[in-house]
Amino acid sequence: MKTKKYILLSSAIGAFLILTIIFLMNIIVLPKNYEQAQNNPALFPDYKEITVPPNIAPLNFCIENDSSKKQIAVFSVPGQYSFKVKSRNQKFNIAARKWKKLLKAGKGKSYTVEIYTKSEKEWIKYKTFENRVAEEVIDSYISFRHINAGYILWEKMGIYQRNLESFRKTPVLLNDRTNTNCMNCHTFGNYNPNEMMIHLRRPPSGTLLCTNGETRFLNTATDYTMSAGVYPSWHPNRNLIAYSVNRIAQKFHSAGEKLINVYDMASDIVVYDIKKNMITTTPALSTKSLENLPAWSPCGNYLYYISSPPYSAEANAKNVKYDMLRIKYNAAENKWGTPDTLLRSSDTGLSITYPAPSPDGKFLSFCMATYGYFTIHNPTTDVYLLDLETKEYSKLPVNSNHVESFHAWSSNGRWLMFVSKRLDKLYSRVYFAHIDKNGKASKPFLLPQKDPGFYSTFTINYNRPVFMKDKVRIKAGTLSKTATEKHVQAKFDPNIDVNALSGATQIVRDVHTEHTN
Amino acid sequence: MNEKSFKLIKNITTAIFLLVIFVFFYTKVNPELIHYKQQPLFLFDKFFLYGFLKYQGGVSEYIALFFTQFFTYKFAGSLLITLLIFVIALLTGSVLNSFYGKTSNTVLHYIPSLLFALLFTHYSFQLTALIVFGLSLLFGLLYLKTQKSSPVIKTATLLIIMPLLFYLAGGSGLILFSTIVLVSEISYLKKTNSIINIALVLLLLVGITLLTSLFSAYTGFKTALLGLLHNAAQQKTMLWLLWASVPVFAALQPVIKQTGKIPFISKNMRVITGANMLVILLFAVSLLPFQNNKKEKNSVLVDFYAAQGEWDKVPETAQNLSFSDRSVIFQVNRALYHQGRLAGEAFSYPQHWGEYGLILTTYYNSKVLMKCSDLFFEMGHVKGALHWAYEAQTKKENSPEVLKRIILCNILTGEYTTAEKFLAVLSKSPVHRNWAKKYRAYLNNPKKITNDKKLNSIYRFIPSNDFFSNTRHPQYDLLKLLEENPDNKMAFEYFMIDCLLTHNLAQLALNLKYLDNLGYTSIPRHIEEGLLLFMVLNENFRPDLGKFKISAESQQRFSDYSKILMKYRGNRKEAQNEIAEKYSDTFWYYINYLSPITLKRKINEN
Repeated sequence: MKTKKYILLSSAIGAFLILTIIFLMNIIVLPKNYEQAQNNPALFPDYKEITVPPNIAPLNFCIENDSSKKQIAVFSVPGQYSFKVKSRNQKFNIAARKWKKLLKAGKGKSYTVEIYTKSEKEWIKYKTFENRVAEEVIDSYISFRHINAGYILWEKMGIYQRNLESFRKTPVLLNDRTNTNCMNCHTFGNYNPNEMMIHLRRPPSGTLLCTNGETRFLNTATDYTMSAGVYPSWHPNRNLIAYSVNRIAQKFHSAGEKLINVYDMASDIVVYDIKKNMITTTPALSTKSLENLPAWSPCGNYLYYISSPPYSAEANAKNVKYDMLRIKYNAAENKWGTPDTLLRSSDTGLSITYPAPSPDGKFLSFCMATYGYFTIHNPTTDVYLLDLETKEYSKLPVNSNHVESFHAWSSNGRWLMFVSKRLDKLYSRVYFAHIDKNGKASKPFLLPQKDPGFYSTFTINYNRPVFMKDKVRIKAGTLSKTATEKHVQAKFDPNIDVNALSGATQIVRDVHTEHTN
Repeated sequence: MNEKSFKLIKNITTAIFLLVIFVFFYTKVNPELIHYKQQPLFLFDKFFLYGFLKYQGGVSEYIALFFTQFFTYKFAGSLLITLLIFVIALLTGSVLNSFYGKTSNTVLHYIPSLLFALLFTHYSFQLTALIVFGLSLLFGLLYLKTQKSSPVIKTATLLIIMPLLFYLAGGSGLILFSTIVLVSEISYLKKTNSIINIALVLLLLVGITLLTSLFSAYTGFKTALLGLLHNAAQQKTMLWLLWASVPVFAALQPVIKQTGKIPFISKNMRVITGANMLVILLFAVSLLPFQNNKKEKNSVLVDFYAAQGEWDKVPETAQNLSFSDRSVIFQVNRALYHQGRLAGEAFSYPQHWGEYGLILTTYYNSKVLMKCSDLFFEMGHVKGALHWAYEAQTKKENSPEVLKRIILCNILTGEYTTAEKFLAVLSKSPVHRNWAKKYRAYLNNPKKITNDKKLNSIYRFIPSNDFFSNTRHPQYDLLKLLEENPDNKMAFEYFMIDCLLTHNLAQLALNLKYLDNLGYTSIPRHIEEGLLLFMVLNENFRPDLGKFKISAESQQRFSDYSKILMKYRGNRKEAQNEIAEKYSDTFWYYINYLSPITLKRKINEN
C-alpha cells in the first residue's frame, strides 16, 4: 500500500513539475536590452498600417528576410488590452481568443504591434506599427471559385466558402459531383446564401438556381438569345437576375506581359424573371454594340453596364474599349428608360469594366485597363471609384503594378474586396480594403490564413469572390442531384419586340459564322 | 524432411520469388516509365498533406505518392514494388491463415501479389490500389484477431475500424474489409452475435457511404461506395478479380480443410507445401517473358526517349507501334528534326495524319497538351509553350514535368516571381529539390541563361514582337517566328514540312529565301520534291533558289516517278504498287496516296 502511495505521490509531483515547466516556458518576457531599429519589419502578408474589420480572423503573419532565432510580437490596445506571441520560426500564430479580445478593445481605435527579434546575442526592436480597427464589421463569409491557371481546359474546380471570422474553408459544390464540368459565375441575392445561383458548363450544363427554399436547374438559352445567361446580377427585389449573353472568344499572346486576351464577338443583356421563368430584354440593351456585365443599383432602379462598338474581324482585339452606361428600370412595370453614358473610354483613355455600385448608392467601383472587359489576365487593370453624385472618379490607392480585378462591396458598403495577382503575377488572391463614407480607401490586406506560408505553394486561383452574410447550407448532394435533373426551360418574353432583339441576335449569328468557318 | 530444412527451403523459395519479381520490374517493366507516365509529385509540406486529408482515401493516395516518387530511380523503384508486393503476400497469408490455421495453401498467398505484378505492367496503374488493398487486409487481420474475443469487443472493433478504414482507404477498402468480415462471420454463423455483426457490417458499409455522399461535397454515392473500383481508369476487371480473390480463398476454407483431412495429403503436407512453392516460382518466372503490354510500353518509351532527348531511339521504338496514334508520328517528326533528318526523311514515315501529326494544337486533347508545349518550347515560342503547360497543369496539377516547363518558360520570359512560385513548390520535393536549387540561381540572372547552352538555344528565338498565336492554324505561328528570327531552323523546317503536308506549295516556294541563313549546303530533299511538283503545276513560275539549285538526283527521281504515272496513263490507283516500291518515301507518294487532304479523310481521334 505504501509503495502505491509513493508512486501516486511522485507521479503527482512529476506532473506538477512538468506543468510548471510548461507554464514557465510559455511566459514571454520582453528583453530589457535591445537595439532599436529605425525601420518596420518586412512582414508577409503585409499587415502594417492597415484598417481591419472588428470581426476578422487573426491576421497571422511571418517576418520576411529574417534569420533570427527568437521572435516576440506584442499586440496592444494601449491602456486596455495587450498580449504577446512568441515564435522560433518567424511565424506568428495568434490565438483566436486573444485576437478577438484585442479587436473588441480596439474597435474604432487602433492597436499597435511591437516586434522583437533575437539574433546571435542581441535583441532588436523594430519600429512599432499601428493598425486601425474599423467600427464596421465585414460580412462573415465570402464565396469564390477555386480554379487552376489553365485558360481553355480544367479538371478540378469548385465553388468554396470561407468564414472570414475563422480560417474555415468548405466546398459548396465541387465538380467531382457534376461530371467534372466547368462551374463558373456564382452570385447571391442580397448577400443571402440561400438565394444562390451557379452556372455549370459542359454536361450537365445550365444554371443552378436556389431561391425560396427551392433548387432548380435552368436552361436560360432560348431561340432568341445568343447564349445562356453568363455574367449575372441579382436584382434587390430577389425576383430578377440580369445576365449578359455572350459569344466569348480568346486569343493567346506570343510576347510581352500578357498571355491571353478574352474578348466578345457579340453580347447583349437580358433579364430573367424567376417567378415567370421568363427572359426579357429591351432594344436598348440588345443592340449591335457589345452590352455586357450588368449590375443593379442598390435600389434596383438602375442597371449599370458596359458597352463597346460592335466587334469586327478587322478591329484588333487589343483596341476594343468599353464605356460605362446605366439605364433606368421600373421593375414593377417592367419598363426601361434610355441609356445614359456615365463614363466614356474616349475620356479616360482606358477600357471600363466591371461596374459595381456601392450598397449606399453613393459610389460605383469599376476597373479600367488598356483594352477589353475581361481584365483578370491584363496586368494593366486597376480598381477605380466613381462618385455618383459628382461623377468624379479616381484610382483607388489599393492597386499594384499587377492585376486588380473582380471587386465586390460588403453588404454595409464599408469593405471592398478584390483580387490581385501582386504576389506572383499569376494567381489571384483576395484582398480587402476599408472604404470610408467619403470613399477614401485604406491600405488593403490579404485574406488571412492560419499559416501565412499557405500562399507560397498554393497554386490555385481565388476567382470571383463575393460576400455573403452567412454560410451556404444547401447540401452539395442536393445541388449535384438537381444538376442531373431535367432542365427547366426558360421562356422568352412574348411581349418584347422580337425584331429588335432578333436583329441583334441575327447580326451576332453572322459574326459567329464568319469566325468559326 | 525435418522442420529446419523445410523452413530453409521455404525461405529460399521466397527469396527466389522476390528476386524474380525484382528482375521482372527492373528489366521488363522499368519503374522509370511508370514514373514518367504518371508524373507523381510528393511534397514534404503540410499544406500538401492537408489536401489529402480532406476526403476519404486521400491518406492512401498520399502514401502511394510517397512511394511512387522513387520510381524515378529504376533500381529503387523495382525494389520498392517488390517489397510492397511481398507485404501483400504476407498480409494475404496472415489473413488466410486466420481462416485455415497453418493449413492454408501457400499458392493462394501469392496470387494477389502476382495479380498486382501484372497490373503494374500497365503504366497508368496507380500504386494507391495496392496501398488500399494492403490497408484493408491489415484491418481485416485486426478484426480476425478478435474472433476469440467477447462479442462486445468484436462489435466495438467493427464500429471503430470501419469508419477509420473508410477514411484511410475509401469505399473500395471498406468493401474488401467487409467481405472478409462477412466470410468470417458466416463461417462462424453458429456462434452468438455473428448475425448481429453481419447486419452491422452491411449497415455500416451502406450507412457510411450514404452519409458521405449526402454531406460531403467531394463524393457521390457510387464513388463513396466503390472508391477506386469505380474511379480506376483502366483494368477494372482485374481490380475486381483482385478484390474478390482473398474473400473467395477464405470462403473456400471448408473445402480445403476437408482435403487436408485426406490421409495422403495430411501425411505429405510439407511436400505439398514445397510443391506449392515451386508452383509460385513457376508463376513468377512465367512473368519474365511477359510481353502483354509491349504496345503500351513502347508508347510510353517513345515519349520517354523524346523527353530525355534520346532522339535516335524514338523512330526506332516507333516502328513497333501503330501510327494510328498521331502522337507517335508527332514524336518521330520531332526526333527527325533533332537528328537533322526532318526535311529529308519525313516522308519515310507514315504521314497520313498530315499536318495534324506535325503540330497537335489544332485538335488538342488532354493527352497531347505537354507535347504541344514541348514543340513550341524547342522552337522558342515560349509563350505558346507556357500556355500549353498551364493547360496541362489543369489535368496534372502537380506533374513535375509540367511544373518544370512552367518554371523554365517563366525564367526565359523574365517572369521571375512566377517562376519563384513554382520553384518553391518543387523545392519541397525530395526528388526534385536539386533541380529547383539549380534553377533558382537563374532568377534575375539572364547571364545564367546565356551560359546555358540548351536554354540559350531557346532564348535567342523568343519573339519580341507580339502576335496572337493561332491554335487552329499553327503554321501562322511558325511563319511569325521565322519572320522575326530567320535563323530559327526548327521553325523553318516545320513550316516547310507543314507546307508540304497541307499541299501549300506556293508558300513553300515563297519562303525559300530563308534557306540562306540556316547553313544548308543543299536544298533538303523533300523541299526539292515539293518544288519540282510546284514547277510542273506552275510552268511559268520559277522560284528564286538563290545560291541553291535542285539536285540532278531529285530531278531524275521526279522524272522516273512521272514516267511510271504516265505508264499507267495517269491512273494513280493502278500505278500505286510500282510507285510504292521505289518512291513511298517521297512527298509525291504522300500527296497522291496518303494525304488526308487527297483522301478527304477527317481527323477522328478517340
